[in-house]
Amino acid sequence: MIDHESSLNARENNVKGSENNILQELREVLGEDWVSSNPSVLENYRAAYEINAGKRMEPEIVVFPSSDSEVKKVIDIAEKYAVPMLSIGKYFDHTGERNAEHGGVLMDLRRMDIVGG
Amino acid sequence: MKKASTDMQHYRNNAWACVRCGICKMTNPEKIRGQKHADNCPSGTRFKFEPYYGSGKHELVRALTSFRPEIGIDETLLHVIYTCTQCGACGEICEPVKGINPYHASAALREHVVEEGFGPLPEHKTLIKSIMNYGNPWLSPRASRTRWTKKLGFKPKNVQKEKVSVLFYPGCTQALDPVVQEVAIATARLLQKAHVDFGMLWDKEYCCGSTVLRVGDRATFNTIKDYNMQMFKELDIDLMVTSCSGCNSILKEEYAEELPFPVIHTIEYIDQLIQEGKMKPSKKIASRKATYHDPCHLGRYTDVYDAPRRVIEAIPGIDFVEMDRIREYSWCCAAGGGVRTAFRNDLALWSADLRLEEAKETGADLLLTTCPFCEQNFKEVVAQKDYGIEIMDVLEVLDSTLE
Repeated sequence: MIDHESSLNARENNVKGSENNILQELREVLGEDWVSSNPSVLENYRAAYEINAGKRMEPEIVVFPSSDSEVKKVIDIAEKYAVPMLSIGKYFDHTGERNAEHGGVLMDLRRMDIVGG
Repeated sequence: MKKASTDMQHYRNNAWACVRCGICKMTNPEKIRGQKHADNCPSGTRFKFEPYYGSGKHELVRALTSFRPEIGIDETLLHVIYTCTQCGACGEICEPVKGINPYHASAALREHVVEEGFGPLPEHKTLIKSIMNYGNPWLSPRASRTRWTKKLGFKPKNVQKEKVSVLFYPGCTQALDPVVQEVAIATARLLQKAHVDFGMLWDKEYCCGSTVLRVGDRATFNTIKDYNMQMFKELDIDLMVTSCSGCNSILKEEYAEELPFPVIHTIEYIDQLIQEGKMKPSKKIASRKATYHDPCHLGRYTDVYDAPRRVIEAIPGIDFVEMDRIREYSWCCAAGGGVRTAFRNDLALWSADLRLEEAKETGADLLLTTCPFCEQNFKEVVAQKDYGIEIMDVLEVLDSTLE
């Protein structure tokens, strides 16, 4: 049986311990302007219904890929560091359906605004 | 736009009232032709991260007003707060739907960071220092404020020495910046041609303090306002007109209640004169296709949308066409709110460029506006990139149609 609690702790440690490396790698792929781990930015991606969950739920890094190849690279990096990942569109969030429950990388896809591009 | 509180606590609950529907990020879908012009927020569209949009401002207010503030004031937060152009487009669409106006939260955030000692930005401080030293933000000596009048060919009266009916207040930018000075000259000429009994404050004219308040420095603004109010209250006039949209919004919003005379933008006054038949544009200009850019500080701030359009349509020879985003859903050129001062290349010129693209799509060869800051911003872009579009103030064109 999988020990979810320790698995989650391991994931959290993965992000925290390697934060600089993962940030650096994401910035190399997407550029400085499209990667942020600043608290003022993360605060805006907090789960709307975290009160019910009884814990703070927010991503640790927010990224903005602009093409499918960049999306793939972000996924590869997240996989390499074994961190959770979540993707959103234009952040329409009426019902709190997109919660970065375990932190990790939140991928905002609003730069990908060309159909078939 | 209604005058609102700038106390952050006042907007704390808006973070919960906001359901993150994202409507504040877009133009009214019923008013545009397609997705291409769906965006309405220059800073959000440019920088993308959630806090740059109107909805994000409420979350920042909530985080900062918590019993223990959940975020600190750092460089990123200042960038978020000061790249807001204060255009008010988010509020135009959110307020009728949800009853909340993110613009007010944004203004409150600015005053908060100034009170906490983190704002305004160094670029803004230079400008404020210039206003306190010279009475204008352009680092020009007070005596140079009236130099433009030498090109008039006549001398307007001095309201402090003679009784006049109308005070013409050109504002610092049109009086001092050669790029837009022609507007002040054209306005004075128009008033003269319409036989309006008008005068000016000459070198006693002082900055209205618009930029100071927009960057959040309420204390300095109050000092400037007190100085101006003392001077205005002694004047024996019936009406004050200004050809600057920045002055127009601040005078109507912050001064008007205490003033013994009304304040209007020159375009409203000229429109009245044309409607009453006191001004007749008769000389046909060479045929031109023109479009109009609504300045935020005339349109969204003071609801003046029809007057400039009526004046443009009264000009013989103009074929008037509208852009996609107009009136309350107009795209902001990002010159205001201290953005052109602090983020000129990064945001102001980028946003003006997008607006010029939109203007070009109409097939117009003339982009008209009624704000010196929009005009400065557009003129800088067309100087670098050939759009085949000329930028002018409505009153400049009108002046050439009167004998």
